[in-house]
Amino acid sequence: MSKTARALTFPNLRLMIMSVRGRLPMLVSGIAGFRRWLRAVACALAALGFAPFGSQWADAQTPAQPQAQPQQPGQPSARPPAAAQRTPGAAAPPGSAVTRRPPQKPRIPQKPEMTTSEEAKGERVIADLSSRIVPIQSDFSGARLILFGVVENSRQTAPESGFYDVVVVLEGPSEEIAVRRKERVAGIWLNSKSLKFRDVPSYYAIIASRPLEEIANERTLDKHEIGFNHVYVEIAPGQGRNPAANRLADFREALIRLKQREGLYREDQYGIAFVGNSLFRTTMYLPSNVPIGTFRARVFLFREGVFLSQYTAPLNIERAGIERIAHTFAYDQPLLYGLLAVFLAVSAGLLASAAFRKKLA
Amino acid sequence: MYVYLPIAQVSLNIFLLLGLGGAVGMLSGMFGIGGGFLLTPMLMFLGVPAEVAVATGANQVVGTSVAGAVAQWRRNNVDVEMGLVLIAGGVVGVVAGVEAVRIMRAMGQVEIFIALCYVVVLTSIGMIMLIESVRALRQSRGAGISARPRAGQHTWIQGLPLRWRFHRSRLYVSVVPPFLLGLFVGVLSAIMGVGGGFILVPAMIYLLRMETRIVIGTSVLQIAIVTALATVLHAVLNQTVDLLLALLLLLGGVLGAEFGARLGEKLSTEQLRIFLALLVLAMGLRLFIDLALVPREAFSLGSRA
Repeated sequence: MSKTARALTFPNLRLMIMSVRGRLPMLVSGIAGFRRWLRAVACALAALGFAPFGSQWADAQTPAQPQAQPQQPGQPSARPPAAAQRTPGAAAPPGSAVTRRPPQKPRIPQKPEMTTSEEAKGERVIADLSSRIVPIQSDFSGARLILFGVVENSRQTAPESGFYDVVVVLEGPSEEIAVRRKERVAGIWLNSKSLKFRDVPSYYAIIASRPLEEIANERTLDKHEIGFNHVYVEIAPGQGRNPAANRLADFREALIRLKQREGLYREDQYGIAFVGNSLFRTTMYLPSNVPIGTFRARVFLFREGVFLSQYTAPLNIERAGIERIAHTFAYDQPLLYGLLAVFLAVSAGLLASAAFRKKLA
Repeated sequence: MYVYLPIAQVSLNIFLLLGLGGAVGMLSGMFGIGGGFLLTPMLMFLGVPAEVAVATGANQVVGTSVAGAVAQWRRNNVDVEMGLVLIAGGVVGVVAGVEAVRIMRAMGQVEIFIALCYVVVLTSIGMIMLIESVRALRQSRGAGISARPRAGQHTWIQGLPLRWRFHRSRLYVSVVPPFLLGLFVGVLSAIMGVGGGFILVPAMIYLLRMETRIVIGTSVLQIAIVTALATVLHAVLNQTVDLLLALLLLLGGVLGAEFGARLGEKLSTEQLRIFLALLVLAMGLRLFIDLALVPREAFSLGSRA
């Protein structure tokens, strides 16, 4: 928590270091990298307060970062430049969240993707959900999903040995969210201070085979954004000066607390069990207020604090049936929708009074 | 059995909603009130977002008032000229009110704003009803003469310019007070999802000196049209009308209203009126306490879009 909060208080510094450091290999990779390098410089300048190329250069820069590719430890990576970038602690003390780059989220994973290299001996995790589409219909009151996964090349000798640690993170689409604080004005509590965060997961369920702090260290959790306090969120731009660190921490804690209270941030520290030496399963509950959109379930495999493999399975939560019709109608044809609402109300009132009059006569 | 409401984005028990509609409908049938000021805060207590509760509550009032308007029209109790002036004011008020909701929503204050309006309205209606019903009870027991002002007495209302002749009411008064009255009630409809009969009726009786039956007929027409407009505007500007919720409430509401009207003829409503007054007061106080007490949670989340 505190690390990320501190990171957020120096976004300019972080952005600067990150962008320059991240682009160094591209400088040498020739002309193709030149434009991106230029963009990185623009971004660094923008972070300092200059905007010689306009702010859109800096804005466009963040999503253009190469995707974080988890690797098999101790194995030669297939992509040396990416590996060079990802080496932690190159420009700052290890573990410092200031240098932690936000791993880019694959926004709409169409197919389950594998992120480990196809080495013969390394363990690899593969998983899938019992359903990839959850329709929300008028009788929706939550859903239950089962995730099955398998550890390929498992060296585990017994299911209950605790040889591997598995963490499943189910995330909803990112959203911008305002956290507001009430303050007393003339005897009444009004919303006064507010802070907007962006890239906040609208839904975040974490299920692990044992408590996270026993599975991996803070830095690893930060890197993979595992855990409420390790999710990378940013303060939305255009809110004036950066708030003080302690105030920011308050708001961030409140965000997590309120999300938990709404049932949208969930945690189960002992929710995954191995069925065999390589097969594991877990059950996930989606509450009735689950947000709509593209979800992803990230499955992580650890052993003795070392990250081994990751797998991402997609999940779509969408409105269906009457829900879908009513919602699209309300937003696409608001005038017709409003007229229909009035028409229905009028006819209900008239019908009832007509029926009543007949009974009297 | 739960039903997921598409706009409110909450899952609520279908029988609870039908029952709520029915109960509010029954009360409105029994006491001749619109019921919006009971329904909307109840929806808020159930967890429906305030702005959705307001817009859907307005839609509910359309349903309950239309039947009344038709019945009153048949009995020739509607002063069309007066109705038009009130509606003209109501249109301006609704537009202003819906806009106010939109602005408050953008500022993140809408829940508090609506709750505050309810505190003021519920506590004042509750107090008035309590006083009225206690007085009525006393009158029915002993002898007492109504303190209603007699027609023909001049007040400041008669001094205003732009006087019109309202044939049906046999009145010759300025259009300014009914226009302003309509405007005020329109604002209330848009912000609170109520019809506003609790203000319209006494104001027309005591300020404009209209005949009671014409007051009821005219106000119910104004309410039907103004709440219909409020519904459409909320749907267009704020997308906060939940059709499914409205339908369930209407179903319970219209049936409850018929049942309540019959029940009201049999029972003596004077004692019951005290209970209604106390219920309204309690709801107002509850909302006020929520606003005034140190909140258990100082933070809240906004803009779930």
